Amino acid sequence: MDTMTEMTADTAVLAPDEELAEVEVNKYLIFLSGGIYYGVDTKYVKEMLTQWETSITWLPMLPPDIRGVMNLRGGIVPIVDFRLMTNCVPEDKFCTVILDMEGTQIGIMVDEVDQTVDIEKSHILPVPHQSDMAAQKMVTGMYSLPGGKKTLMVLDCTQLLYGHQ
Amino acid sequence: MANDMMEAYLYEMNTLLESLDEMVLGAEDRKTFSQEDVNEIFRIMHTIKGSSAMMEFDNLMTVAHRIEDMFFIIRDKGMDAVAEELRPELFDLIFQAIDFFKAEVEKLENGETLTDDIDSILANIKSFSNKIQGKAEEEEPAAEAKAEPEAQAAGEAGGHASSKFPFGIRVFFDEGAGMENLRAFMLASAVRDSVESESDFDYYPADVDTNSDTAAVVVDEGFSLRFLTDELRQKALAVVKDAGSVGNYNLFEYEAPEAQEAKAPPKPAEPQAAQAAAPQSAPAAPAAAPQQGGGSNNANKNQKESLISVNLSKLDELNAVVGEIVITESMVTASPDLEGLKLDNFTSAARQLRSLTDQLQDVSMSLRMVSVSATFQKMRRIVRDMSKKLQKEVNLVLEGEETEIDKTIVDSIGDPLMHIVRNSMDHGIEENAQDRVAAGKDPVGRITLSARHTGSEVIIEVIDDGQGADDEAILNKAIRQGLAAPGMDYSHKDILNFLLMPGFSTNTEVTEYSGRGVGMDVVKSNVESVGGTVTISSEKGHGMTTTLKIPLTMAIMDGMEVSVGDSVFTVPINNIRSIVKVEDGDVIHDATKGEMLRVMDNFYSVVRAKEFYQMENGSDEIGEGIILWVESGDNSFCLFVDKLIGEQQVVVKPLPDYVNNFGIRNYGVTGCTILGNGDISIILDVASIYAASQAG
Repeated sequence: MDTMTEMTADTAVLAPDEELAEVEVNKYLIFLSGGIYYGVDTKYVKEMLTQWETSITWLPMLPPDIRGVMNLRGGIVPIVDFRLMTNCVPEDKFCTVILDMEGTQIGIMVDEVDQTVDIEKSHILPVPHQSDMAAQKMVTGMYSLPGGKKTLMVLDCTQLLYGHQ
Repeated sequence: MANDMMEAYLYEMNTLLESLDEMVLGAEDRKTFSQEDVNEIFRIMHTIKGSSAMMEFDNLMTVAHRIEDMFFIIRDKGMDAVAEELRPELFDLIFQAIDFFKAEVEKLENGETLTDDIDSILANIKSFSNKIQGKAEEEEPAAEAKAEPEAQAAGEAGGHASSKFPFGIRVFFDEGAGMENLRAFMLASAVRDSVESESDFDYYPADVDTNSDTAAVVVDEGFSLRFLTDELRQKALAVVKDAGSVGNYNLFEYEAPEAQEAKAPPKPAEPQAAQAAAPQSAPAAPAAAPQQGGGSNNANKNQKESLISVNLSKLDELNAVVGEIVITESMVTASPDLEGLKLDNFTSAARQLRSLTDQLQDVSMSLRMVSVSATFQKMRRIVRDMSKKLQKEVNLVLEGEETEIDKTIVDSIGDPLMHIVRNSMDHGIEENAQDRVAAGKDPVGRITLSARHTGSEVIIEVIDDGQGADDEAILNKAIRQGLAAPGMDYSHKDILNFLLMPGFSTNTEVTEYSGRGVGMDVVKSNVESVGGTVTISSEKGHGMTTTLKIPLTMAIMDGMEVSVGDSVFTVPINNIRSIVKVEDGDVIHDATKGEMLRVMDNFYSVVRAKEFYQMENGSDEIGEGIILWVESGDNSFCLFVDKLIGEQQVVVKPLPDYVNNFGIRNYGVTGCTILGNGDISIILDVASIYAASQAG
């Protein structure tokens, strides 16, 4: 794996670990929703669409956070508003991240997409049990971003897809 | 049509033989058949037997039937019944059978005639069956005794050879020509004129001019003309070739039984060699063969090329790309950058591009779609043949033949339909016409095959007006088979479900057609493999209805696009009885604030799409919108929407499971379609809307 070369400059400075190449490292896409940073494993991210590229068809009789479906080059993809899902008030502007889990696709609407980072698996910390976030079921871990200020909620895409009941 | 059937038959045989080959090879490696393998071989043989019988390839049918019998024993007794040292022989035997089928199929593909000589393979199967049944190994005499009458039978099937007039021509008339006996007689007269001597030939059946029943014989077995010498036969051949409505003919020779015996062993083992040897033993054959190959057989040669199998995912990919092309095309030609420009050449080129992309889209959409007609027509043949053999007069009524459904679905319903129709013929329709008259029914039985779409499913029904299911008889049988516990109470529905269980058959006799109750078992598993369901409803004395419901993976249907607020819905045209514009005053209110409309002297409740789906936008004034009078089954109501957009052929796409999990199907949202401009339209199922509006 050529993780060394792909790492962002920040991470490289902060983690100049020579054994890094042998540690399990995954690339995460960071996005912002309701003022909180979330990360999803990039292996699940199929593509990102701007607001203007997202034309959503409303479907009746669904919970409000499911905004409908969209036509993604002939495929019908359900779109959920991640902000509503986590009980935030959605801003007008949004980005859509299309996730693909073994062929099953879902789009999530988020405030904005930030960047991708490499995260070492062992650096992802467990979520405290008493945490009462609406998104808690979907968050499997936490991670302090380099620079120290930002904390990232690591999302479990499977929960996102199947956890909505 | 006959050609279509041939194509389908060859395709099916090739696929079945391929999978059989693969399975047996795998099994040989493991040195045993698993229970699954045995069941699968049993089913494949059952299918080959059935379709070959339908195509009247009796030799293939007989061999398949015998193998099926053999595997019935194995299925019954388990693989343990076959001793370790016998297994290689079993594998050899099956491979021999597979090779035999393959060789025959190849002959069909090349338009050659099939071999009648299947005795040695039958003898092998027979002796092996005896071995595993633990019978005394009297195979030698048994096989011989068996072979002799069958050689006779084979000779019979080969065209009623006669020792007095050894050179024969067997003539088949065009299918459905009618009055075959009289045509045969006219042909015989013409031949008599050409050979100029009445005593040098005869024909079979001999009483074609006086006995109209011989028409059926001529249709089934051909009309045999037999001559003293080969020379005379050649003369007659010219007459036969010129005669009208002669569909096909072949030549045969009388062979002494000993000669047949002698030739029997090498033939099936090495069909190729036998083919090569044929010219020596039958000098007339080479002269005749090219002539015979002159006409229709050239066309037959192409049969192999005209069907290819393509991975469905490739078709899906193609459809997706074409969809994008269509959208991109409109983005280019309607680009805002072009506004105000006068571009004559561009406009004409763009117009042509549009028509080509439209065409491309039509073609790509139609690739996966096939009408059920070919499958239904196949049933016609089965009903015809069976009504002859079983002496039951039955009318087959086809409804919705033109319904187009996905290829995978068509493939998966072929076998099940065949089994259901056979069951109806065999067990459903009464044995005697008198019984039908006594029950107050038309003496001629009736089987209806119908196909239709709802928004979300294809519904295929086989309805017979026969004697129906006898609950008591079924239950007793189920108890005997160990499927039901004695003394328990079973509902009518439970009892009918026994019919779908593996190994159940209400008919104790094994017939060529219905087999041993593997039929309904196959039906159920085939239909379930495409996510469908099978239900049987029946009332004693009033026939039986078997319903296959299969969810649409993709289908094209005619839809009416309507809008409500910002949303576009597609209502299947089939469900729309009429579209009416009404004024507020026409609406009648009932006590519970429900609304009704009077259409064609009947009152129907009004469902407002906007309220039903709790939509924000949309028209509330009846006078501003439009009413669709819709109907599904017996349920009819008026659907109120904003606007009509227009009629369109749409490709039905399923909605993702993610949204389906919220039960939107129950509210009539069953699928969607992508419109020309890339927008999504929601396909409504009228029946579900009715049910939901009644409940709410």
